[in-house]
Amino acid sequence: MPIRYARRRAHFEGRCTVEEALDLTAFLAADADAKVSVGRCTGMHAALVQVLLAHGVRVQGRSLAPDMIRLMPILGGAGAPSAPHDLAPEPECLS
Amino acid sequence: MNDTLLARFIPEARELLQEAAAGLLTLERHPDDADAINAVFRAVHTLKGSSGLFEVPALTRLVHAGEDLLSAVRIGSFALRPDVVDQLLDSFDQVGVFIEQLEADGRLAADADRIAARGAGLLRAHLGEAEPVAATPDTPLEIAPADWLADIDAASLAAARARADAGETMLVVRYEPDPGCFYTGTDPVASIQTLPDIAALAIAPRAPWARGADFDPYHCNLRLTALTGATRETVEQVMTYELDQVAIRLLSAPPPAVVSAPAPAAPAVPSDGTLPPVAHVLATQSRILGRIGYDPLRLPSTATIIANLLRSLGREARLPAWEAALAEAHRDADVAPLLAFLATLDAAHAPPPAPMAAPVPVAPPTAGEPAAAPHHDGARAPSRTLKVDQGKIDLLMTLIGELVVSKNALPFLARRAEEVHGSRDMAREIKEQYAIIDRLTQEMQGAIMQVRMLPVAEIFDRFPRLIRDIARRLDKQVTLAVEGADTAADKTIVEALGDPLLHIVRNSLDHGIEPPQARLAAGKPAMATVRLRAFQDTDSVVIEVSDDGRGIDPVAIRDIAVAKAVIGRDEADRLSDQEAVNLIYRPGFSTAAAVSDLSGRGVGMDVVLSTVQKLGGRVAVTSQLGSGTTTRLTLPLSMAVTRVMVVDIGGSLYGIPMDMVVQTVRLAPDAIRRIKHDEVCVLRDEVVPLVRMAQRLGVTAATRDGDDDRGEAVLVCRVADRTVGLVIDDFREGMDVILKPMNGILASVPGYCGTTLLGDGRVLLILDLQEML
Repeated sequence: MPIRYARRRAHFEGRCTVEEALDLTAFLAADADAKVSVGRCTGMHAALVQVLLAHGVRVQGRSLAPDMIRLMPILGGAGAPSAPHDLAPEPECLS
Repeated sequence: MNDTLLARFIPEARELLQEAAAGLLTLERHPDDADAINAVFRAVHTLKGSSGLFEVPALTRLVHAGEDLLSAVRIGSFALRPDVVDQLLDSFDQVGVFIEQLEADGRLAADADRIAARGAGLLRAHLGEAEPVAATPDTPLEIAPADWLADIDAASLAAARARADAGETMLVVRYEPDPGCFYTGTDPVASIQTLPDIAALAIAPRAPWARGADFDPYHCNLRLTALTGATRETVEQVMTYELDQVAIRLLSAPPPAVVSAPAPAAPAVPSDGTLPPVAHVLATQSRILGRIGYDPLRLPSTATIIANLLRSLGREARLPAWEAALAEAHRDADVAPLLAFLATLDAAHAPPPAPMAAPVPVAPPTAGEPAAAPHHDGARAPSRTLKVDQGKIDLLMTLIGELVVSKNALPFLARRAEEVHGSRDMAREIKEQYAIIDRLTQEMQGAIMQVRMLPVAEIFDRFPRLIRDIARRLDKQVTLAVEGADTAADKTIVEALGDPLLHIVRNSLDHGIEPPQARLAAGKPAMATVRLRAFQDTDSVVIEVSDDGRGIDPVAIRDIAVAKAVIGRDEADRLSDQEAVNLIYRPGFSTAAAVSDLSGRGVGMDVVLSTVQKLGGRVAVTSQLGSGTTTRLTLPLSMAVTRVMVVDIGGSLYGIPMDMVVQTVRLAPDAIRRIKHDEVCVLRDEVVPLVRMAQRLGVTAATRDGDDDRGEAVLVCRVADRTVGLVIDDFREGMDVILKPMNGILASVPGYCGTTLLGDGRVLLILDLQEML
C-alpha cells in the first residue's frame, strides 16, 4: 500500500498509483483537516494530484524524486496560485 | 518490427492506395457508384487493418479517419464533394509518403504524427467531429494568450520569458486530457513530465471542483500547462498519443530578426522551418506530378487545386496560362508544362523547390540518422518489387522449357556431324557449345523457378485460425505446431495444396482427434497436437500432417471398405495393414457414421488424392492405432521441367523420372538369384526384386552379343517406398524434358505418365512406374 493512512495523516510512500484515488478521496472527505505527507513519495498519478487539488490539501514534507520535484510547488500551494514568497522557502526544505 | 511482414505490407499498401485513389476518382465522376465506394472502402479498411500490425500510429490514424469518412459516405450519411475527394486523395498521398518513409527507414519521420493528426482532423471535421486542438503544421505557431499563463507561477514565468527574450523559442504546451483518460491507463501528469526541458509546470482544474459526494476522483478535470524549451517536433513526438488534446503556442513573439511579422500576403519561411500554406501546396503538387508523371485520372484534381490556389491568391490573371499548360500536358501526355508553370509560381512565392522533401522538412536530424532526410526526396527510388501477370511468367517458363528441349537436339547434331559427315572437330565444337547452352538454360530455369517459388507459409498461415474454429465447434482441444513454413515450392503447387490440406486437417480433427475425456482416459494429454510440417526432399517438397489422435484401425477400414463395396473381401484381406489404411483414399470411402458438416461426405479424401496426383505428387498415410496418423504429401518442387533417365528397352527408348532412380548397376548373370519364381539380386545387403521391363512392356528384349560381358543393365528405382531393380537393355543419357501429359484417347492408356519430344524429333514415352509395378 503506497499510501499509509494514520489517524489524521496520509503518508505517500513510493510510487502512488491511480487505484488509491478512491480511498484517498474517502479519507480526505472524512476529515477536512487531514494532513498529507509526501516526503517519501517517488511518484504520484494524476488522479491523486487531482484529489489533492480538489480538496485544497497543502502537502507536507518534500520529495526530491525527479517525478515529484515539479509537483511540489503545485501541491504545496494548491488552491492559491500565489505570492512569490510561497516559493522562496524551498531551498531550506531541500537541505 | 517484423521485416518479412513489413516487406509484404509495403507493396500491398501501395496497391491498396492506388485502388483507393482510382475508386475515388470514379466516385468523383459518378458519386452514386456503389461498387466504387465499396472498393475504396474495402481498400482503405484493409490498409487500416494491416497497418495495425506495425508501430505506425500516425499512418493508422490517418487511414482510420479516411475509413470513417468513407464509411459515412457508404451508408449514405455523407455526400462526397469534390473538395472532400481532394482531401481524401491528399491524405492517401500522405499515406503514400509514410509508406516510403517506412520502406526507406523502417519507421515514420518525426513529423508524421503531426501531419497525420492534421490530416485526420480535416477528414473528421466533415463528420462533425471535433477538429483536434493541435495547431496545423503549416501555419506558424500563435502566441499563447495571457490566460494560458495565469496558472504558472510568476518566478518561473519570468525566467522563461527571459530565455525567450534571449532568442530561445519557448513553447507553451497546454494539455487538456480526455475526462475518461484515467480509465485508459493514461497518466497526464506523467505524460506531460516526459517533455524535455520543462521550465514550469502548472496543473489547474478545467471546471470548478465538484464538492463533497459529487466529486469523482476518476473524472479527469485537470488542465496541465507546461513551459518548455523543447522544439515543436519534439513536443509532438513525445506527446504523440495525446496530440489531439494538446495545444502548442509560442510563449512570446519570436524576435523580429528571425522572421518578419506573419503577414499572410507575403509568406515566408517561419523560424521553425515549415512552409507557408501556398508554398506547401505548390511543393506538394510539384512533388506529386514529378513522382506520378502524367496520369489523366489524377490530373483534374491537381488542376482544381492549383486553380483554387490562384483564385485565393487573387491571381486569376494567371488562370488562362494554367489552363494552357494543362491542355498542353494532356496533349503530350507529359507533366513538364505543368511543372514549369508551378515553378514560375514557386519563384514568386516560395523558396526554391528544396521542398521536394516530404511536405514539411524533417526536424533537425538527431544523432545517428544524419543521412536519413535525403531519402525522402522527391523522386523516390523506384520500387524494387515488380508485379507481373502470372501468364507472362508462365509464357516465359514455357519458352525456357522449349529452349531446354531444343538444346537437347545438339548432342544428336554432334553425333551426326561425327558419324555422317565424319568431322570429329565439328562434333567436339558442337558439344562444347552445347555445354555452355546447357549451363545457361539450367540457370535460366533455376531463375524462373525462383520467380514462381512461394513459401508454403502462404497456405499454412490460414490453419491456426481454422483449427481453432473447428476445435471449438467440436469441443476438442487442439494446438497446431507448424514446422518449415518457409519451405518454398512452385506457386501452382502451393496454391493447389490449400484444399487438400484443408481436407486432411479437417479429417484429422473430426475423426482422428478424440474428445478431451477420451484422450485423458487413454493416458494422453487433453490437448491434442496437429503438426504441419514442410520440408524439401531432393526434388520434391514434402508436406506432412500428423496428429496424435486415435489413429486408423486397419481392421475397421477393411470391413468398411468391403461393406461399401470399395474393394472385395479377398482383396481386402490380402492388403497389409499399411495398405489398408491407404484405402481411405479410395473414392466413395468415408468412415464417419454420421455425416458431419465438417467432413464425412466421403468426398474429401479422394479429392485429396486426385488433386495431389494431378500435380504429379503422391499421398501416403501411416497410422499407429491409438497414437496418431501421419499423412504425407510428396509433390514435385516445380512442375515445369522433369529430369528423366532415358533407357533402351526392346529397341525403343523410354524415360523414367530421375527422382525415382537410385542407381544404375550392371549385374553379372550369376548375381541374379531366384526366390520362387521371382528374380532378385542383393544390393547393399538388401534383397532387391528384379523386374524384366521388356516382359512388362510386352516387347522383345534385345538379344545381347555374345562378347558383351558387361552383365544385365539394371536400373535400381525407389517406387512407393520399395526398392526395385528394372532390368533393361541399356542405359542412355539423362535429360530435362517438358512432360506433356497423355490426353485425348491416350489418357486412358495405363503405365505412362506422359510424353515428350526428343531432340531428333522422336516421341519419348515416360513410364509411370508406380502404376506399372
